[in-house]
Amino acid sequence: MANKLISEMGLPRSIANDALSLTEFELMELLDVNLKEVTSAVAHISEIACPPHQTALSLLEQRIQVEYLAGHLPTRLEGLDVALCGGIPFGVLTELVGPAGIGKTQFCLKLSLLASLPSSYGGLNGRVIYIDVESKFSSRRYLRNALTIYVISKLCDLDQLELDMQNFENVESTLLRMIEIGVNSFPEVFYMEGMAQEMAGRILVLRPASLSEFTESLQQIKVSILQKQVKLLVVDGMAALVTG
Amino acid sequence: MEVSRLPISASQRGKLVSAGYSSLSSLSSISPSHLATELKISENEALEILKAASHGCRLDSFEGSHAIVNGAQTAWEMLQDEDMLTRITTSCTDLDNILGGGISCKEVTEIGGVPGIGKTQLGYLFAILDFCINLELLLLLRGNRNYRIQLAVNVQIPADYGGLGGKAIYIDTEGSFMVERAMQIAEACIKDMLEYDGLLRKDSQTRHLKMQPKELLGNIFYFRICSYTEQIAMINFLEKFVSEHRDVKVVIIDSITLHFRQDFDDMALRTRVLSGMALKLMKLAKTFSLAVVLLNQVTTKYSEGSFHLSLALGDSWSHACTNRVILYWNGNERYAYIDKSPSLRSASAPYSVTAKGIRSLASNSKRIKMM
Repeated sequence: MANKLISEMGLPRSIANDALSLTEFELMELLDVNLKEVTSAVAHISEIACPPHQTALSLLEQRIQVEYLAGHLPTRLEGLDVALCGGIPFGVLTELVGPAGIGKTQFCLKLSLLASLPSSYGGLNGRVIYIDVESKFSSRRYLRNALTIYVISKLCDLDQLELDMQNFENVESTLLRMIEIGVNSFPEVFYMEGMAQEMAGRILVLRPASLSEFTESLQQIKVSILQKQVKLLVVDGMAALVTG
Repeated sequence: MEVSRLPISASQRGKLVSAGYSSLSSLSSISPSHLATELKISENEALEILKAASHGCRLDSFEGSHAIVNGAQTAWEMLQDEDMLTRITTSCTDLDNILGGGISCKEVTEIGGVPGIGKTQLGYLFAILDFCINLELLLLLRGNRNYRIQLAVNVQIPADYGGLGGKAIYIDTEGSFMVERAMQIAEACIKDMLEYDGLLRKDSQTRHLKMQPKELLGNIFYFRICSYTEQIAMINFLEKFVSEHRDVKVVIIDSITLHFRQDFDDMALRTRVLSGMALKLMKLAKTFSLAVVLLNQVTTKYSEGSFHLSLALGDSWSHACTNRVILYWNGNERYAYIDKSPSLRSASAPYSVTAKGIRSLASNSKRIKMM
């Protein structure tokens, strides 16, 4: 019977959708079979379409063992990391809300930096897609932060994970001056290391002019995420995107 | 009953009608082989049609003085059942009081509220406290004012079982389930139970509650749903799943609304799908004695000249659930309000969300001031 064939095929989503949205009588009319077969077909389709399950325990173990950094991106702000059980969680949406001027964009820049740093510096060693609606992305500041970390590590002779970013904030301001001087005086040094290009190259900045442009580019974004090991997606200015 | 209402395929029905059989009585005295030759179908098919017809006949006739319809219970039997009914505590005394002891098994309860009020926290709680409470024992403990313990353990579970009986199914449509938080609540729950166990058992022989938080987490089946098709499929599949895992005592769906709020152009389809889902869940709750907890979101409704918040999915969904609890802010405190219940009074109770999960109102339930 036609019914059995449908059950045995691996179902594409659209068929499952129709099969599950129609009533049993409509399905009986459509497939010309009796009620018992329809119910068993629907049950079978549901079983296939249903996502696989796991226990919460296996979820926890998976997080700890398989996912990098236990499934969280540490923000390096101690209190926040404790509250978030490790940092910004993978696999879910996190929203940053606040009034103008409070530091949302700077926070996003920092997270982008943390995601793109190599693992030896405590980062995710991945790329970042930064959707900059309000044109606030400053690559200069980003690079400056990146180079600061590089310089500190060289100065302190550390190339391990133990780099303490907490203290880094305090040291940063003094070192920034040093770097500025360094960059101005010996620009070739930094650029020859290739690091600037490497770091800057890991952030893909998109500037959609409107919501429709953004939704169109979503498909491409999806492809990039898969191909280019993107670890973080930032949308800076959700409200501006929607109301623009 | 007419032939047109038999559960057979359309072409078979068509053949019956064109052969002149329009009512069941006309089929009552015919043999399968005769029917097969008349309709030009196989004998097996004819046999099936006649079976369906005789089943239909049986449902219609009342035999003599019995007049008991299949599957019905007298109200007395239902009362006996209700006395045996177990409830799952919310570990907050006030909340339990207005709920008559806790969330009842065998019924569907809908819990809705604004974002951040603690719906998912309640979800975690039911997933972890998945053991059933004997209602009498609960009342006994409530009366004992020396102990401010808010939990009760089912004493019927044998000591060497080591577990607490029930498992939970957590269906996550929003991605808001955080394993680390579930771990936190499980650890707090075990600590409380150990404390209680020590106090209760000090007279009788000591019984150690060998429970690790990880075991509690192992009792939660987690499903992540990403579209409304998966949600419908999931609810259809639940019956098979629960019949294979009979120790599941609670099903939590967090939340049922998310996937139904945007993809539907056809509102009639949405209403139909939602009512179908509600019926299946009610049947599931009744057949397997589960507590089904549905978490809902809020929407703004315009009525009588003003806007106010009400639970999402519309008026027809409001009729679908047996019990309804609304969570809301009152100043700086969180309150739960019984909006709809067949047997409970409308009442409000405060509660708070702490590191240990949901607890009774203490001083630390401050609302975060939004700037």
